[in-house]
Amino acid sequence: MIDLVSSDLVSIRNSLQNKEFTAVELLNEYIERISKSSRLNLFNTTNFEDALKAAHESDQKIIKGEARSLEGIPIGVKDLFCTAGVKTTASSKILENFVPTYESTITQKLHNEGMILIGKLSNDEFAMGSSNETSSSGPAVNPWKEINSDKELVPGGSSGGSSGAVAASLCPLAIATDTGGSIRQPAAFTGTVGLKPTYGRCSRWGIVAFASSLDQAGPITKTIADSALALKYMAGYDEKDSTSADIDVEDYEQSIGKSIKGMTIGVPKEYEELDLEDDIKQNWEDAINWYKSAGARIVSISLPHSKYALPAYYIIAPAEASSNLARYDGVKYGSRIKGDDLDDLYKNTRGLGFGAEVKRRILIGTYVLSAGYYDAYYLKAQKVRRLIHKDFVEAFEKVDAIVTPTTPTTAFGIGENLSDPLKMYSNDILTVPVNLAGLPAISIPSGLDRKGLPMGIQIVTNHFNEGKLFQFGSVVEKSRSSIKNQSEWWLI
Amino acid sequence: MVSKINNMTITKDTILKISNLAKISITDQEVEKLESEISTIISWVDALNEVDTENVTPMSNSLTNTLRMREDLVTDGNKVSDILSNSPADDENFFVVPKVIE
Amino acid sequence: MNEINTTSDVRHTIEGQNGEWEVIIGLEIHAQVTSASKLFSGSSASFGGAPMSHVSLVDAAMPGMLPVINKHCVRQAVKTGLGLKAKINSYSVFDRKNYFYPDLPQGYQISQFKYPIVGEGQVKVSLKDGEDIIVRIERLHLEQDAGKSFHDIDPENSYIDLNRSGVALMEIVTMPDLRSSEEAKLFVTKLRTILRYLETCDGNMEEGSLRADINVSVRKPGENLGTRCEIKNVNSIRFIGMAIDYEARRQVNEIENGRDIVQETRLFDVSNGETRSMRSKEEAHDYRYFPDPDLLPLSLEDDFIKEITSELPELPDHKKERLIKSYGLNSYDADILVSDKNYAEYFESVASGRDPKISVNWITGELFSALNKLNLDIQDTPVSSDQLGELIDLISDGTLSGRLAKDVFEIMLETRKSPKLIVEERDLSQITDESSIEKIVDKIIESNMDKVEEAREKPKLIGWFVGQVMKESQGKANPAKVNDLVKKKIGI
Repeated sequence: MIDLVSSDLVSIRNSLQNKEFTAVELLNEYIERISKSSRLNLFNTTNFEDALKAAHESDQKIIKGEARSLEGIPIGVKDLFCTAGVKTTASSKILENFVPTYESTITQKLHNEGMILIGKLSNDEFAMGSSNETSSSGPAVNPWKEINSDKELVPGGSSGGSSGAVAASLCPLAIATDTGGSIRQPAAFTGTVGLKPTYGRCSRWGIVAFASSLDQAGPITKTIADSALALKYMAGYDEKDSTSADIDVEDYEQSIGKSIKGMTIGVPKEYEELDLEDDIKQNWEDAINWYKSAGARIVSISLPHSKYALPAYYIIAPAEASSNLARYDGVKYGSRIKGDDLDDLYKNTRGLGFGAEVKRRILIGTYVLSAGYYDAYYLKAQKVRRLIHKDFVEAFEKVDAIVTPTTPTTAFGIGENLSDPLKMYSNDILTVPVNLAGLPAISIPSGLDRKGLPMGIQIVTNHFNEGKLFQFGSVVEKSRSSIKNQSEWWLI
Repeated sequence: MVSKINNMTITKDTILKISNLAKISITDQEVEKLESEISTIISWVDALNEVDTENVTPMSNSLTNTLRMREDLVTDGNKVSDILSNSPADDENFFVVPKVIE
Repeated sequence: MNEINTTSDVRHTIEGQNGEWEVIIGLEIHAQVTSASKLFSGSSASFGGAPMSHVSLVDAAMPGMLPVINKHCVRQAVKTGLGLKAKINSYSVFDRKNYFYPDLPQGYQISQFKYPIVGEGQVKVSLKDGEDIIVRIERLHLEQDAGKSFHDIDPENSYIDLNRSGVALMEIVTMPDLRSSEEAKLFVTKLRTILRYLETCDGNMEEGSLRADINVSVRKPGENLGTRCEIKNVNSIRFIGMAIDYEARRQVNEIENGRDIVQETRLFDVSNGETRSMRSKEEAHDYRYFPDPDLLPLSLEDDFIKEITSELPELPDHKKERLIKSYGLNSYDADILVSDKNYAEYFESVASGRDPKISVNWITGELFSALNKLNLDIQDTPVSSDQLGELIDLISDGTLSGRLAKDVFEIMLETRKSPKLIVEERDLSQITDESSIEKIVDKIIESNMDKVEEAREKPKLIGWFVGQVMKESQGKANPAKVNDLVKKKIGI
C-alpha cells in the first residue's frame, strides 16, 4: 500500500526510480482511489486501460535502466488539452464525442518524459467560469469542506477538476490552463500549488482555445518543488505556436529555497482597498511578515489601472472567444443538430451545444466587436490593457516580486454564485491583471481560514522570471502552518 | 437596464441581432434573461470610460517580439482519415452540409 | 470616395435614353500566391489533388490548431508590392474576418484589414489608341483562401473540399480609376503580366489563381459617384468585360426608369451573361475584424525588403522603354513583345546582332501564327530563337529569298531542324549569280517570242515572264535580279 496522500510528485519519482514500487503498483493505487472518489465528479474521462499498458512499459524501462525523467508517473490532464485517441470535450456538449487524432505539445512533452495519462479532468465549459459548475458533466466538487458543515464547495475554476484531483491525491500532477486565474484560483480553493507561467512560456498548440492572447498552460501540484519539476518539462519553444517564446528554460529547481535576503517585494496599495475576507487580509499580512523575517525589503507599489482589469478582461476574453469558438459549427467535427437549412443547423448546433455561460460570453464578444461598438469597447479595452501592462513594467523596475492574496474569498458553496455573473467574475479580481500583462504568477497554499478552508498567496514576477516565483514561493511554503485536509469524506 | 456612458442600449433586438451573427439559437425566455444579464455586464464594463486612453496604443498581445516566419516547405497534408475522423456527415471525402443557396 | 471630375476628363461613356453615362469601375483582384505550401500551414498549395488530400489539421480548424506564417508568401507580397511601385509597410497586422460559411472551417478568414502589408501603388495601362492611363492601387494584403463548395454533386446537399482552405492570396485593390470594360480587361491583363514577370502568381484564371470582384457604378459625366454594386468572383478576362457591360447597362436602365441603385453584391451568370443579386442575405455581414490573437504583428526588416528589391526582374514598362530605345521598335511592337516576358526574351535573343525590325516581324508574324495554329506556348516553340536567328541570317546574306525563307520556316516547324541544314539537304539556296539567271531568262524568252512583242506594248506582261523564270528555277532565282534581266532582255 502506497500512501498516496502524503506522496508528492518528487517523492513518487524518487520511489519509482529507486524501485520502491512499480509503475503498475502505483497506477493501480491511483485507479482504486479515483474509483472511490466518484462523488467529487472530477474526471470527464478515465484512461485506465491504456495507462496500465503504458505503466507496464515504464516498468520495463525502469528495470532496463532506461527510465526517462518522469517515467511511469500518472498525470491528470484538464479536458482542454487534445489527447490522441482519448476523448477531449472541453466539458462541452458540443464536443462530447470528439476524439482528437493528435496530441497537444505539452502533453506530448510530458509523455516523452515517461508520464502516463490517467484521465481527463473536468473544467468549466471551454474554461469559462470560476467554479467548475458550467461543465456539461455537472459541477466538480471540492475535497475540502468547512469545519462541521456538510455543504459541498466548488473546487474553483475553470480548472476545478485539476485542482480537486491533486488535492484529493488522485494524481500527483495535473496539467491545466489559466486565462484569467483558472489555475491559481482553483489552487487557492483546494490548498494546492498552481502556476501560470509567462504568456509564451508553454506552447498552446493542441489546447482548445478560449482567449488566445491570455491562455497559458501550467501545472497544479502539491508542492513548489513539484511545480518547478513539472514546468521544467512543460516549458520551451514550439515552432508550431507563433506566440511561443524562443527563450531558454531556466533550471527552476535550483531556485527552490534560495535566500531572498535583500530582495524587494512590492505590495500594491490599490489591492488593500479591495473587498477581501478578513482572514485573507490577515493571511496576506502574515505572508508579508514571513518575507520580512526572511530578509526581504517590503515596499508599497501602485498599480493604478488594476481596478479596470476585470472589465477590460470581460471585453477582451469574450471577444477572442466569440471568434475562437466559431469553429464549433457542426460541419467538421463535434455534435450536429439539424434544422430546416444550413443556417438552422448552425444555430441549433451552437444554441443547444453550448451552455449558458459560454453563450453569454460569445454574445458579449460578438457585441463588443460588432460595427459601431468596436472602438467603444474592444479597442478601449486594448488600450486599458496597455496601461495595466505598463503599471506592472514600472513596478518591476523597483521590485523583484509582487505579493497579494490569490482570491478575495475562500471556496464557496456549489450554486451560491451561479445566478450572479458579476459576483462570479469578481473571483478573478486579483488574478486577471496578471494575464492581461502576460506575467508569470503562482498561488501557494498559505494557511486555513477560520472555516478551515485553504487560502492562497499569489506571487507575481517579471516576464520569464519563473525561477523567482519558486524562490519566493518557498518562503510561504516553509512559513505557513499545516494545511492538511482532516477528512476524506468523499471516499466510498 | 441601459448602459448610459456609451449611450448604447442593449435591447431585445440587440440580443437577436448578435445571436444571429454568432449563429446561436435562443429561446424567447433566453432572450429576456440575456438582455438583462448582458445589459448589466455592459454597464459594468463601461467603467473603462473613466480611464484616459488618449494617445495610448492598443495592446493585443503582451509579447513584444514580432511574428516569426516559417520556410515554405510542404510538411503536412495527406491525412484524410484524420480530417474526417470526427465528421458528423461526409461522403467521398467531402464534408456534407444541407444545400447552400448563393 | 467621392471624386468629382470635370467632363473634360471623361474618357469613355455609354449611351443611355437621355444622354451619356460614365461608368466607374474599381477592382479587387484575388491573386493566388505562387508558393509550395499554404499561408499558415505546411500542406500543399498546389491546384487539384484528391478531395481533402491537401488538408492539415490547421486547415480543417481542428481544436487547438495554430497558424504559423509562410515566409515565402510574405516575400511574394512584398515583391508584388514593389512591382506595383507601391509603399511596403514594415509593420502590418493580421486580422480575423468573422463569418460563418461551410467552406470557412475556422469561422473566420485570416486577412489584413487596418494595416495591410502593401500600401498605395500604381499600374500603367496602354489603351488601344496608344494612350497610357495610370490605375492607382489602393492596397495589397495577404489573406487565406476558403475551401470549395460543390452544389451540384447531390440534390439535397452541398459538398465541401478544404484543399484550397488556407492557400495564400494577395488581394489587390484598385482605386475607382477604370472607365470601361475595355480598360478593365486591359488592366487585368497588364496586372497579370506583371505578376507573371514577378513569378508571384501564375495568373492561371481557369484554375482560379486570379479572380476579380468588380465594383461598378454609373454617373452623368462630371457628377458625383453613383451607388455601386459589387460583382463577386469573376474568373476570366472576357467575363470581366461582359459583367461590366451588362451591369453598367442595367444600372443605366434602372436609373433612367426612375429606380434607385441598391448597394448589393451580385453574381455574374456565365450561362446568360447577366448579373443577378445574390440570394443570401446581406444583413448578416458584420465581419467583426480584430487582430488575430494567435499571431503577432508582422515586422519587416529593411534588409529583407532590400534583398527582395535587389532580386526584382525588369518589369514590362521598363522593358518596353528599353526595347524601344535599344532596338528602335515602335510602341505597338514593343507592347506585344513585353506582354509576356518569354516573348521579349525570345526577341532579344533573335535580335542580338540582327535587324530588330526583321526579327520582330518574323516573331509576331510567322512564329506567333504558327504557335497559335499549333496551340503552343512560346516556351514550347519548335523553332528556337537561335534557329530563327539563323534563318534571318540566311535572308540577309542572300542565301534565301523571303519566299524561300517562309518555305524553310514551315519545314523547320515540322522537322525542328536548323535552317542551314534544311537548305543544304534540299538544295534550296537562292540563285544570285547573274549568268545562271540569264540562261534561264534567255530560255524563257526564246520559247515565248510571241509574247515578247506583246510585252513591249503591255509592260504588265513582264510579270508573267518573271513568274515563268522563277518557276523554271524552282523559286530559287533572286526575284529582283530576274526582274531586272527580263526588262533588259525585252528592252523596256
